Amino acid sequence: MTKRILIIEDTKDNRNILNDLLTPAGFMMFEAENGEDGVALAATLRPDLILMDVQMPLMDGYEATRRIRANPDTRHIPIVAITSYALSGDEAKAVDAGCNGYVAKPFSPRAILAIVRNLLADA
Amino acid sequence: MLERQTSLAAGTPAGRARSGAGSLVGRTLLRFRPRSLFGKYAITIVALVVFVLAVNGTVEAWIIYRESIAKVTDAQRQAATTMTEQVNRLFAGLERLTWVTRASAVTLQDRRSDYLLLLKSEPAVSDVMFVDADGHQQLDVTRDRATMYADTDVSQDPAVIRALAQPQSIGTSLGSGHEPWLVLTMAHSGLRAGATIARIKLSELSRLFDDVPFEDASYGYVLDDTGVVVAASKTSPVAIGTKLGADKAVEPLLKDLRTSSKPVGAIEGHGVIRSAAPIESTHWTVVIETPTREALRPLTDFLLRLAWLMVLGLGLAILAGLMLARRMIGPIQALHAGAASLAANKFDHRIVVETGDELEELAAQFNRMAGDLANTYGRLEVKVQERTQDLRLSVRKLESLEETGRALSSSLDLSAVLSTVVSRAVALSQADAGAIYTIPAGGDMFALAEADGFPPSLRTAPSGSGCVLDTVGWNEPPAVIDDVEADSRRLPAHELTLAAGFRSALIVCLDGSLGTRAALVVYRKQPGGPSSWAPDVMQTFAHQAVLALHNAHLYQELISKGRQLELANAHRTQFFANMSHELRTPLNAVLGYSELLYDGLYGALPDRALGVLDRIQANGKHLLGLINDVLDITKMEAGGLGITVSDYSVQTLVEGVFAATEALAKTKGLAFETRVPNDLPAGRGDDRRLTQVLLNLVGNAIKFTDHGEVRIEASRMEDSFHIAVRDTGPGISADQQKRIFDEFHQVEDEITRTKGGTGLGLSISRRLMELHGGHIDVVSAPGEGATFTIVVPIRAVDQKRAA
Repeated sequence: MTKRILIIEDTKDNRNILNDLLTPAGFMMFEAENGEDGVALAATLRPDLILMDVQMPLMDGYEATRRIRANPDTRHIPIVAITSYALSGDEAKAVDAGCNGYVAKPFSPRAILAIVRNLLADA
Repeated sequence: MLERQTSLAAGTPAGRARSGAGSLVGRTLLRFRPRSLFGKYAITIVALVVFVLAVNGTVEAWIIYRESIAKVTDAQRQAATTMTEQVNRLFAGLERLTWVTRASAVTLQDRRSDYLLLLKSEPAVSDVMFVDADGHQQLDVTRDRATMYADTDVSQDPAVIRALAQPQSIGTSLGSGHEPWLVLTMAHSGLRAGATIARIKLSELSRLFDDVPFEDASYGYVLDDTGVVVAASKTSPVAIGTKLGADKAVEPLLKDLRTSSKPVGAIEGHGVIRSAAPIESTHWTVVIETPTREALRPLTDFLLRLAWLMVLGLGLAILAGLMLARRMIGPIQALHAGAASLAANKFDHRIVVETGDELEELAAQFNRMAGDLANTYGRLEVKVQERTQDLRLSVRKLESLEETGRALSSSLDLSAVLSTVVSRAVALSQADAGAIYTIPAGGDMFALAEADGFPPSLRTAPSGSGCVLDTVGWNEPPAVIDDVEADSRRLPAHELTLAAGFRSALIVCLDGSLGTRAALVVYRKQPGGPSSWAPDVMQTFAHQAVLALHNAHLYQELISKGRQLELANAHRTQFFANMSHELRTPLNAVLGYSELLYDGLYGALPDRALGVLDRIQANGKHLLGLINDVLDITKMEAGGLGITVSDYSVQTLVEGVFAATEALAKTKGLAFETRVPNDLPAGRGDDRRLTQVLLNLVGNAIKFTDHGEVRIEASRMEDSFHIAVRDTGPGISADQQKRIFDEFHQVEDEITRTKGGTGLGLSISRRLMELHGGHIDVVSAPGEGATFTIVVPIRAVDQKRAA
């Protein structure tokens, strides 16, 4: 069964890169441009994994993560945070908010692919 | 005490004397002590009187004694002589009896008639008898009995024997059973003619004493040659017939008596004075005695009188002593008390002595002195009070100023200081209102900045130009307007000020306090000259006020600048945070796409394109590093960067760095190795930051070393880890070593320019180590490679938070 991945990311380039990376890898990709849409889409789609950008306007990734975790239907979905950069301290905040892993920007597509595969193989 | 003295001074002289005397007696009696002056005087006077009386009495007593003795002995001698004469006269009378012995009377009848005649003529004779030569009594004629004729043998009678043996004799007969007699014998002329014996009662002899004049209790008696009392006066305690001579103790007395009339001896234990006179014809002795007590009665009377006199004298002496002492001592005590009062600074005390002599004069001088002293003291006191008043005033001024200074400097809030300055100025100058005027920035006229006691009309009124405020200058004495109406100078809002009722004012310059011209004005509703304003105090106050205002003004500016600075800093931090995000986002896309391209996700690319993509990747990552460094340093400068402390392993840390840089070292053909002991303890610190530092050092080492090796060595030194990064690169000169940790600095030479970099890495590393409480050492010399050593406490604490 094809695994479904939801990307919540406000930057179109990043969404494209992730799409271009993960679609050929055999995943079904879904996108949301902001936190609110992401939370709603997550509840509807119930994806197998969520890639969450933490730095977004309106609702940031931490808040979106907390909401997804608050919903019993989406609580179990693994979330990988894409933090602003390695030493910003965002990682700890992301873990606190309920993320299962993180990737610092600028992310290496290869590293993302490794993490995603790793998480979904466990599931 | 003082009260009493005061009332005394005010009282009448009589009242004064009375109460003075009364108190004196009371005090004298209470304070009598033998050692006090008063006691000495009294005792001396009494002793003198008693001594004089005693000496006088003794002398007089001696004289009286002598006189008494002489008088008694004289009287006794007189009596003795009289008695002697009486006895002699009696005996002479008896001589005449011899006529009865005439031979012519031959018959007993003749003799009887002769004897009757004798009895008739000599009343002392109680009986007469005739004894014949054989010692036989032939005739006895008595006064009361009938003539007796009997032939009785009386030859053994001592008197008869004596009568027949001697022509004449006088003796006594103390025969028992009859009255003692004085026996007179007369031998008759002719052979064996016999003798006549006349007997006279001894009481008759004693009667002779009746005619003897006796003094008082004197008495007399007559002793015969054998010491027997043959006659005694009526009052004599010695009875007739007593034989004194038999008493041996009396023998020398009797002997003495015959030769002397000195009063000696004693009879029956009673002291007597005795005189004696001898009766030559019979060897008898007349003794006159007077009991000594009686004889010395004048003396005892005198002594009694003397005793009374002495008692009286003593009493008088005591009284006189008291009086004298009081008169003498009283004033002296008053003087003494006066001196004591004077010594106790009671100058209103006056000594009352009214003796009319030198003492009174002395007291008067004393009082004058006290008066002078009181005057002097009073003047002195007035002066002291004046000085004290002056001192108090200046102290109050100083205190007021000091308190003002404190109040002014207690706050740095400009509006509070302004308000304090005005209210203090009003209080200090006892004015009704006060105000501070300043020329606002950009203005050219004074405007009200702060006011106290102003009516609302004045608070909003414009000051108007050409007023007095323009004329006062810094460090000049305050300007004083005594009377606003009469003065040509104009106050700010002159008419309104007049209308508000202010009549005088003092203006002092406060330039230099608020960064602009400023002046303080205090107003009063009464006109008043400069002296009432105390301009010097106000000027001092102005100095304090300027200082306080200046401080507050500066502080306000400082606060304002600080706020601006803080805001600017916050803006900058925010700007950099935003910028880094904005910069990274496109960079992320560049790097992501290029990686996807490189990995052939968009189709296979020719080798040349792959090489270009590699360069794009490398430059993109470098740019990312620069952006990260700038963001780090910005955060550090904004004080926003801390460390997150957790447990870590040095081994893991070194291995991580080694893994991340191994490929780079391999690419450059460098030997690369690590040496980490197995027994290092777990450290505590921010492992990600430590990794960042170590990565930076190792990255630099690899970057600057073209040949040789790079080595990571970890060790433990006491409480710290030492992680050294050695390289065989070009080395760093001592001069450069000092600067490589500064921001934006890189070793400037040909090599480094080709290596690129922000120059922020070492600076950030140094700061990160400092945040751990550690540091970075560098040992290097040009051409000899370099060793950078991280020294970090095993148990690090966030220095920023700890501080």
